[in-house]
Amino acid sequence: MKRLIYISGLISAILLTTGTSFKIEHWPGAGVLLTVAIGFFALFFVPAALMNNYKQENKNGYLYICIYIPILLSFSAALFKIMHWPGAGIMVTIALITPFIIFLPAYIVYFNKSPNKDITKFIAVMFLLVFIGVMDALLSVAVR
Amino acid sequence: MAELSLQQVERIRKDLIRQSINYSHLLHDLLDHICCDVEFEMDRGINFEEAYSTIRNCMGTDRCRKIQEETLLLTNNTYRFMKSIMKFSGIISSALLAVAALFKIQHWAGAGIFMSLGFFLLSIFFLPSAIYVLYKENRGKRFFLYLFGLLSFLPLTAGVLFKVQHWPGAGILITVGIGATVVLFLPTLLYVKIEDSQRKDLNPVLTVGVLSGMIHILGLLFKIMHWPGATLMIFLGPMAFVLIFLPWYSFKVYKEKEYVTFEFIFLLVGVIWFILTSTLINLNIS
Repeated sequence: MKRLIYISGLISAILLTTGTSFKIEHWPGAGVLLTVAIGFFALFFVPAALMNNYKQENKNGYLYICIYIPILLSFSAALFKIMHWPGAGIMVTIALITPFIIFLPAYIVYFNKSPNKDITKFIAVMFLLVFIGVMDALLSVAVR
Repeated sequence: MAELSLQQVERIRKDLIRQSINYSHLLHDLLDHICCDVEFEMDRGINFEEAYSTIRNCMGTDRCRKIQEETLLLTNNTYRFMKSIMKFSGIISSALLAVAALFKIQHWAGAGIFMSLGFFLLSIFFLPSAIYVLYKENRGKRFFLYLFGLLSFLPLTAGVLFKVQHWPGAGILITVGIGATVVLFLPTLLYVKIEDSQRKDLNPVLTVGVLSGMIHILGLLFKIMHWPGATLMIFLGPMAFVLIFLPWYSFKVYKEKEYVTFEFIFLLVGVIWFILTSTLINLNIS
């Protein structure tokens, strides 16, 4: 199971990169590749990996849920936007703020409760959030 | 209950001082702690010498010095202050940026103010304090890595703000930021990783990873500046990253782990998010 999860993660990363390259070059098949990659990633890899990680300790279930919801929403919003499917606008609006209103509070609660407060991990998570914020800002200016 | 003589206590004290424990409160606490341990051992019927050497073996050679370093770090006011600054500015600036993006997309008033404020907090407070905390956490080693990190990220965030607000000078700032990332920061990062790594077999993997990252980031710069060759670099960089670096690295590092680690999930989500958003931005500016 563990190996299957690793391989599925790697495959979706490879498919996604191929899909984005196709998209930039306007070659046919980009849409299918991206849909399969993001669908596979958000609907199989992330939940399976999180479940696998959760099962070793069976603690802090809320944190896993609060990680999964923003990931699912963000990636499906990006997919809807790229494929120009209806409903993309609403999804992007929701997806923009979910990391900050669902994941961030849960992570702070988790961090304050954890026995060894590893500040470097906290900084890594903060950098990821800042990076998401900067990318959101750039996207909002570029996308019309 | 066995009790140590004054000479014995004095001897332990001298040993501690020889290990360069010079923070007075800590010296007393450690001395008290070790004496208690030695007395406890002696209660089992062994003499002072044996009990003391058991305790010393238990502690290892530089455990006391490490405790002192950790204590100094925790009692350092600047460090604690920087840590709170880092937490608050990080949370507020990233949330402000996301809210600004939402406002911008919905064409509500105030997006520009939120965005400037977010980027201002990010570059003036979050980046310097986060890099300071990381530097201190690493016991003040590798000064240049953190300096170069600051030198690359500061112009970059400022440049993005200038670009978003259509202020003059954005192009220069972004070029300087990305240039410093590729020329100074990433090579130093690779050097430090290789120097510090316990596993020499990871060196080629890390080199491939950093090189492909450099190509991708340079490609983004070329694209923004409309220089030729951007498309090829944006194609090659991520391809090399996901086809060579990711499988190789995961195979080497995560093979011995029994479950899927958070690091792997974090790495994949970060990579996929980066490639996806840079593509979206790419599609819109081309």
